[in-house]
Amino acid sequence: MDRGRREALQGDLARLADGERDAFHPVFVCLWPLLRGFASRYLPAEDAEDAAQEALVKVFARAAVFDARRDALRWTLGIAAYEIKTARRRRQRRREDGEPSAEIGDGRAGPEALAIAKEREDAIAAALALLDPADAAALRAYAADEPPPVKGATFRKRVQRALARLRLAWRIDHGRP
Amino acid sequence: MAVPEAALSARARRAYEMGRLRSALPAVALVMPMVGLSLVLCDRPTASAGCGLGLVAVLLAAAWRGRPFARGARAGLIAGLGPLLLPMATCLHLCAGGVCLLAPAACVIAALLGGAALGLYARRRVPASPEADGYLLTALAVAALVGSLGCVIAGLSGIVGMVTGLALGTAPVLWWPARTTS
Repeated sequence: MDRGRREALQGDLARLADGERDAFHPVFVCLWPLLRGFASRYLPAEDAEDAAQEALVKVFARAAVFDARRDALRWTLGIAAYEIKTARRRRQRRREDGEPSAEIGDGRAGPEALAIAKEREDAIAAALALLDPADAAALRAYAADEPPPVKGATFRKRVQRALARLRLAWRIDHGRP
Repeated sequence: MAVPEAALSARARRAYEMGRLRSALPAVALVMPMVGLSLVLCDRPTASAGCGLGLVAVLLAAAWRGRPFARGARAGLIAGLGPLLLPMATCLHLCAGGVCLLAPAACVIAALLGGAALGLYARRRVPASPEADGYLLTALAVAALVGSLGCVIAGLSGIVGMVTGLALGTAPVLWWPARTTS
């Protein structure tokens, strides 16, 4: 989520907390895809949709007590994270009760796990694309264990700085590193 | 399970409206000891319960509606504390014989002070706009109902005196010499 949309969400949620019903639709339109995307990163599709819906309804149920001094995105994602945790626990219980699992019998990752991994890789690539090319190159070289193009200490420092920027970009888009 | 976006929006809307009502619960919880005090000290249980119910209804409606109404209700709760407590205090200390001549005067004086404080606050903090009227009306209604819980000790004359005091305390501060628009 870019800075402009984030600020718009902050303003709209503050207005909604104040009782301004006109802000309902903009908040809904902003949050629904965001929460659906957030949930689908951590849950398989069938659970993600339910968790995102529950999170959305809870966000609106608590909107009246939202403190406008708090960060709206973090507050919303905090509620969503709790819903995701609950959905995971529910899923775990279902597994323990002997319901069929999504994993393939021979221990290989199932299509669902592969899809999640693919989505995560895409998200990392998107976050890297937001960085300065030099930062992205340093991180790629570091991840691939390639020989550093500059001296060791300089390279380490560059990787450290690039990681901090990547974390920031990821946090703005996805809510947590 | 995927649901149509319109259905989800309606569900979210219902949750929001219910959440607004729930947001009044802390204020309603504050009212309970006030009603309790009134029931115990004022010896007019029907009137105390009636004022309490009215107050809860106004608080719920104001919190649900939000905006200036919710803010006005909070201000009214504070402004009404004087007319609630002062008559009870004067009766407890000075009217052991059963006649509370000081109570009506206490109602009027506390209401004048509460009204003036409310007017000063509204004049400084609430910009002159159509919303300001909603703020003031709600604040005065809540202050009057909170004050009634205490002034019921002096009977109907106490309540009328308190309401008059609130209006007289608020009006000059708001309209004299001229309201600022900041």
